[in-house]
Amino acid sequence: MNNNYLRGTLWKMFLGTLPMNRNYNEWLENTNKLRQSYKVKMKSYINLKKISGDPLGGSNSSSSDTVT
Amino acid sequence: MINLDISRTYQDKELFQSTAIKEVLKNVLFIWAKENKETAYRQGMNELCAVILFAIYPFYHFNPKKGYYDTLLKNVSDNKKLNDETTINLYNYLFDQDELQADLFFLFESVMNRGMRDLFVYSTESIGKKNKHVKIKVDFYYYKLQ
Repeated sequence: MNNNYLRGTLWKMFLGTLPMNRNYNEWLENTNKLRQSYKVKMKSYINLKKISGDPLGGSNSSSSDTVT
Repeated sequence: MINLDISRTYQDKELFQSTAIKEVLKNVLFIWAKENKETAYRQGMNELCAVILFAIYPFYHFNPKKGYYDTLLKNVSDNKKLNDETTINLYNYLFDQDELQADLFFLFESVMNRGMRDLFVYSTESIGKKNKHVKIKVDFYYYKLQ
């Protein structure tokens, strides 16, 4: 097994995004659930950008580029 | 403020000079700040987030095809003991480079929820207390001088 896989997985277990003492199914489902919920958050962020330009204070031209 | 901080974050490292990486950090920090309005964004969070990104970035290399998740979930559910191929596929899914931003967000959130958030909140409160203490002293000497 590649060491990278182990190190990366241990990071995720240590920080709690991969639940310890759970089977692989739950790892997959949990990861998928988190990624889907992030997509929803990202969508609302993009909508916010559309409404109010760049909420971080960037120039309007650059924000319109990123939205499209 | 987030934009400004990110443009200064670890600019000596090649990874953080990339526009795409700056965009990832910006999105993660902004969404986190939006979700946690009581704490909001504070200087220093950019470096914390960058360190997490720096630690996990080397593992993200794979780009799965559409439908990969469903097949994988079925294979994992069917076999109690995973064979080598399914194990590799499972790890590839966990380190899908298209999902780096989402994974970074939840890792950052997890670190913040494990006590790091308090460091950012309490530091401001302690400064407030210190200021109050100084004000009492100033008031006292002002009274004495009068």
